[in-house]
Amino acid sequence: MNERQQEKPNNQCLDMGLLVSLRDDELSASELAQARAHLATCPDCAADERGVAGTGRDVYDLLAALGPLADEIPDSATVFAAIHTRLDSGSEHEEHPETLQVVAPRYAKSNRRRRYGWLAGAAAAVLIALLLLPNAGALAYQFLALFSVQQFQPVSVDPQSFSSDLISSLRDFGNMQVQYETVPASLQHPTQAQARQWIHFPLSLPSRLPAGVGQTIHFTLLGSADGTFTFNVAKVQAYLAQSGQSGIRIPAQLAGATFTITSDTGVVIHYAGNCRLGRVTSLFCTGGTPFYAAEIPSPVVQATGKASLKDLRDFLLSLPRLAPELHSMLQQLDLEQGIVPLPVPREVAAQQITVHGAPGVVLVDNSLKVGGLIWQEHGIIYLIASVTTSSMDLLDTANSFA
Amino acid sequence: MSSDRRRTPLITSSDEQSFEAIFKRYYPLVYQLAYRCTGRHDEAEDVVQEVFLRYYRVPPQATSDGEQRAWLCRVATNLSLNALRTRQRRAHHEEEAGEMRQQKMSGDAAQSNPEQQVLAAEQAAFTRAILAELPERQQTYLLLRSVGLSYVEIAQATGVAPASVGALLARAEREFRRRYHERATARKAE
Repeated sequence: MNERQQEKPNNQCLDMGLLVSLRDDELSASELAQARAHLATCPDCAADERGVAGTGRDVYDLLAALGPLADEIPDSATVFAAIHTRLDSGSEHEEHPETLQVVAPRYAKSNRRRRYGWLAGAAAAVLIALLLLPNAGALAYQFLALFSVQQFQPVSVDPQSFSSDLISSLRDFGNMQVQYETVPASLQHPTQAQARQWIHFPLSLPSRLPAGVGQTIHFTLLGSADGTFTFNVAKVQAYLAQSGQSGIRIPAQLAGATFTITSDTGVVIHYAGNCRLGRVTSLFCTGGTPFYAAEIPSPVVQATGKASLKDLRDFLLSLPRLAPELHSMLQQLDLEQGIVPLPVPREVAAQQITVHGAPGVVLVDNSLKVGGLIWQEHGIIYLIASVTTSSMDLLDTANSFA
Repeated sequence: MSSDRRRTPLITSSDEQSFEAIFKRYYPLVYQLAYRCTGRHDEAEDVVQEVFLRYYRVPPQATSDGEQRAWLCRVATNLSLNALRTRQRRAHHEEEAGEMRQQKMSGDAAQSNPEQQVLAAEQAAFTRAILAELPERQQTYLLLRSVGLSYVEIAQATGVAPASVGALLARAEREFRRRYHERATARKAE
């Protein structure tokens, strides 16, 4: 008896492993002959064999139905080109370390992703702040307060603890539901004409770029999003009890109060020496100083329930144990003037400037030698970022947007 | 990477031809495996790229086509399962934060045959959920077999004895089928 056979009580029957091997035509000739001989005389094993065949059909039919269909597999040449680009990109750095030292001493490509981390973090934090800390420029409409960013006020934060506190607060104070519109795969990296058609505002492009920026432009669409935050009294009571703030009264109008936010489609513009597009999310760019611009319509916030945004803000500010950074953010939120707090990592220098006559904030990280600028104009939030610490260069580029 | 390697071009014309030939031969298989596991084209493509980049950078010590295929499938499965784990963790965190994401279907795909698409997507999601409940080893055996690897190749990819593959598959299939029927029955009862 071979090792695949397990002894059954009658010392004859075939185990399931062997039957599966038989089904899959994976037995040697001698094993096959032995198995067939046994099956011819054993109805139990013959029944097991049929069962194994049925199970196999069920299981592998289900797995085969997972796809992909042949026409869903991306063109191999495109994927190979993307791999090639990544290899080229890696080799460029490894082949010419000295050249890189001269051109960009602190921007080894292997670190680029990490170096841009805070920019991505800051951008994400801005969006989160915009989404979750609603402003009410039109406070007069107590129950239909429309969000409209007029100005950003930098607030120094630790990005990690800030985002963690924000998530905790969401969990502690209510429920957040967000629906994201998925941009069709064929339009995730559109042409300029497609981008202009897809967004609902005039696309602006800079006529001047910081020195060394590549001239190839790629666009990436950011889908729209609709969110609803519902204030949950039970959760808040639990939070207050747990944090030793049980004595604090929750305003009655906040019970079940809802705040909705709508963010329309935006676009990210990426300048580089050369870009190759993989499928869906894969955009590989090399050469030239990287430069990014994002143009996102200001989210619209509505207090759709019985409480106003001011009620929510006042209540949160009344909590003595609210995370300090969140407290600072809320304090900077000026409902009368439309001033939105901008969370800025502590190591990043922030300076308020004017772009096209509108207030903006320039952000520079001197250790990473990267900088960005954010401003709002005609209801659109603009964010640019590049490998430069020159506020003047960034401002010059921002002022050239048209 | 060794300094010798660094001094020479990373891609020579002969390397490139050989690498391209390997890529062309195995790309559909690796993509199929990655997609079947992750259920997302973007993740599948990322996995494919990573698999072949790893192949290029540190080629396997494969002495046969079967070993090469097994190596590619092993790396693809591991990366796909990693991607899946990361996504599940992320989803879990979001759920914990009280945030529920609902992807809206949009674009041409959703409009072509919406009902059929929704049903197929639901069925695929259900199958993937059952698959994801299994121990990772069992997921691996089933996925590798589902894309047509032989027992010897599955053994090479997973480091088990070829003679054990039948029994391991039998166990994995039985477990998958049991859970599938349990969940399907419960779903019908709802």
